[in-house]
Amino acid sequence: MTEQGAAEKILSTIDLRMVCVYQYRMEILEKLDSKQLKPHWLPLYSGELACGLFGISEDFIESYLSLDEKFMKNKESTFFVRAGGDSMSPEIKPSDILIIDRSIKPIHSSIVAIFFNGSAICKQLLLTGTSRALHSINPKYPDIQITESDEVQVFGVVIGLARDFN
Amino acid sequence: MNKVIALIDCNSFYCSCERLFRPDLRNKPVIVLSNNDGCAIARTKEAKELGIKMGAPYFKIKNFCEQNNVAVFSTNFSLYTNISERVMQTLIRNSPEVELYSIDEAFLNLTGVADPELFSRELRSKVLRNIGIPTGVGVAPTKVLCKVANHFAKRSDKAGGVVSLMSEKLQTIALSRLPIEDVWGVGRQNSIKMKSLGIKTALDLRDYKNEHLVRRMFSVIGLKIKHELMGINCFEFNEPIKNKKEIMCSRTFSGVINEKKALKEAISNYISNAALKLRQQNSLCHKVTVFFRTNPFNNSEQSYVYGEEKLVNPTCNTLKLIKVAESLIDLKYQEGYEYKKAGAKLSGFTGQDEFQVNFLDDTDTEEEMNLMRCMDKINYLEGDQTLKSLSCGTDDKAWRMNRRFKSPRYTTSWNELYTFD
Repeated sequence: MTEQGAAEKILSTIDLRMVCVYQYRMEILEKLDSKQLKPHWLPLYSGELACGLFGISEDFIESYLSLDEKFMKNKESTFFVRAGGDSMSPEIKPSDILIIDRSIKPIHSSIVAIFFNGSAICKQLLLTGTSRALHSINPKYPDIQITESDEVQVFGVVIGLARDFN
Repeated sequence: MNKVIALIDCNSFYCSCERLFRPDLRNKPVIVLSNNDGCAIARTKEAKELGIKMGAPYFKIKNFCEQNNVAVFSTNFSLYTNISERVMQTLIRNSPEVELYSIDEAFLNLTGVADPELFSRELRSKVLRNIGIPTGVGVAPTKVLCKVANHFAKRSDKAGGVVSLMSEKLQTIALSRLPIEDVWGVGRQNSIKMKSLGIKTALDLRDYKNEHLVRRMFSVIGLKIKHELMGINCFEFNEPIKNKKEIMCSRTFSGVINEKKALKEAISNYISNAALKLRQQNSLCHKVTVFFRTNPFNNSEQSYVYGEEKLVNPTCNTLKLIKVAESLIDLKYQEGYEYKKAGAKLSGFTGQDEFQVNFLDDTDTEEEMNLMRCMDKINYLEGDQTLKSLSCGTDDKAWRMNRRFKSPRYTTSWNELYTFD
């Protein structure tokens, strides 16, 4: 007798509700088997189970943790760009992948990807009183005060980064 | 209750995508060229103001563009489709009901929304901030009136990108200012006929008394357009998309082709493209057509070759279709000509589940279908042409498309990400 056949036989003698739970479980396992690597939400049965055989594995059936889920709160407005210079070192190193969410409003101390007078730079935004400045974390670079004559366009707020150690 | 529909449309979409990572091009003229850098297919407002026409051949405007600092781009479809997807998902996520209409426009059903105009303004600024693409929104009771509203949303400075034509009074004013040829679906030919009836503006068509005549001269569609202008819904929301009746793929070569092998490779590629589209709409085709011709602008001897074959059993299998196309080329190819353009066409479609089986010939087996599905999936995930028939060739120099001004694939390739210093 197959595993499923055996289980169904046991269950049929116990409780109809349990059969439903079991079948649902099978569906979930099939989903995992088919290697759907997309992050998906698996609802779990939360009622009490009378049968020990099927109660123990409840905790196993949770999806993999997903970096997309963690860092892409707004998929449509999330862009990846690459870091170039060392002005934000040691926080940001050249060739790091910067995760930018354009839906987030830049505030004081946000790290922003910004177009400034024709160059594309990554800086920390300092907003104190009426003064606006672009701060480099690397002390080698002085802060840049933003004046009215500057051409400024924020591309987006940097919400995280990915670094490949290889 | 009266319907409320909005049409949201990205401003010069391809150009706006190119501007996303090129802030220096803000307020500057930008154009995007068609496949093979043939002619201008997208222009910013600034480029239109310079007088660059839609479809202008690039070789004719090349010097003009250089003199006037017009930024010129080849098509970068991986960028455009990615940005389009972002815009559409934002619309879907934020509106009650969406009908995706094309790569850069969508209808929204705003019936029941408290303040449709305010809703549109907020949605518009969300798309602008979150993705960086400027849009125009037209709000009205019917789709054709939406198009009219959208027309003015894009052209009026004080509209702020949104025009609402919900009242008849506003509709009358707007329609009186809209030339008949700019009405959605009318077209150039029909607009000439309409003018002969004294219909010069959209308002003239709306108020035209003789509906029989409109119907007789411009078919049911013409009458529907008139009714839509009157505020009567004729084009339903989310009408099912009709499958295509034929699929064609053709290109002009950057050089010339004067050997059979290269021509076969080129046409195999066109067949592959067309067969993919065929499978996407779940159709099978009964007929394969190939054609190739010399350059009609040259004085040399001309050749125009056209061949078609009917299939006993319909198929959507790329490999079988290529075989048919190759045998047609073998049959029709003429030595000694320099071919400049070639193409392939698939036609005679039936649905995948409604054709009659002929037992003498081989129909597509489940195995073949799986192979096609697998190939399409790999090519979707890894990029076009990752997996292809060897008939398509390994060296595409001879017939490769010109894309001299292509921007990087900023959003779809890890190796081509934009750099912030």
